[in-house]
Amino acid sequence: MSGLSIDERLRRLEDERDILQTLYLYGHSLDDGREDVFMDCWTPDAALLWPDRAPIRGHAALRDAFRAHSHAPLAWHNGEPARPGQGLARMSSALRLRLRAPPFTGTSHAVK
Amino acid sequence: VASLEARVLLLEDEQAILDTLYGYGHGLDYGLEDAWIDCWTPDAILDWPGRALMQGHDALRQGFRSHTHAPDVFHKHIVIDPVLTIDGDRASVLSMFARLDRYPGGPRIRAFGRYRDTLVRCPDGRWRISSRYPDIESIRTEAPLGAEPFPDSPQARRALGGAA
Repeated sequence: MSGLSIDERLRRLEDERDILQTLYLYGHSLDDGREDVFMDCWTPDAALLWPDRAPIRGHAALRDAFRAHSHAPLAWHNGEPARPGQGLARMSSALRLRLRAPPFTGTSHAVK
Repeated sequence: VASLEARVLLLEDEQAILDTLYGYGHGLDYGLEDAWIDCWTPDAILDWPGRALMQGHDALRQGFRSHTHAPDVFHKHIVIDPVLTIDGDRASVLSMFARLDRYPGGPRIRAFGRYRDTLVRCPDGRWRISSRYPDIESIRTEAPLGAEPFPDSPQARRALGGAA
């Protein structure tokens, strides 16, 4: 990759990794009903064009659309000891800020 | 700002974790017993729905041998959209999965859900799974060609939309 320093090439790999993680979090959060994680995937003025719907623009509209969408029950859980307070939202934040956060348990919700 | 070396190490760790996640499906689907066992720490936990909890290499090996593999039965354990959090020598990974199987008339998705994994960096440098808890979110009831139907369990009944 001519013309780029090692630092720039590394930054490009990191950027690509971070972009992919945001793409992945869209699906995880929409499927699981993690509203804060979903909202954190978007810029404040982001546009989302779901087919056969009016264009969705901005956080308020995105939040409304998220709430109108179906989600999994928050009880998909098969026995792993839960650690309340360590959820996907924490993971997302740690990822975005590149903090070395405590591990999450995936679902910190009680089995219904 | 992290040093250049620290940033490279983080990328290497992430790639190594992905390699182990991918090794699970390749090993299980194609009968690569040693490679599959090498994905796990010696005291690792695997909680396949409808089966007794497996812990440790002996139990994992028995689980592996009770599972179908190619070329007797073809299936694919596909891991999707892994989201990683690395904390020193420990990592948490949330990913989606789908299992493809052969049915009369062609391939179908037998099940989908997600994996909740913990991996650790082992003394030899490899990242291995220390626990895997699959959440089954949807299953087909009929058995694929050459394989058993999905074992009954509260989670399987929930995945079918019924009461657990």
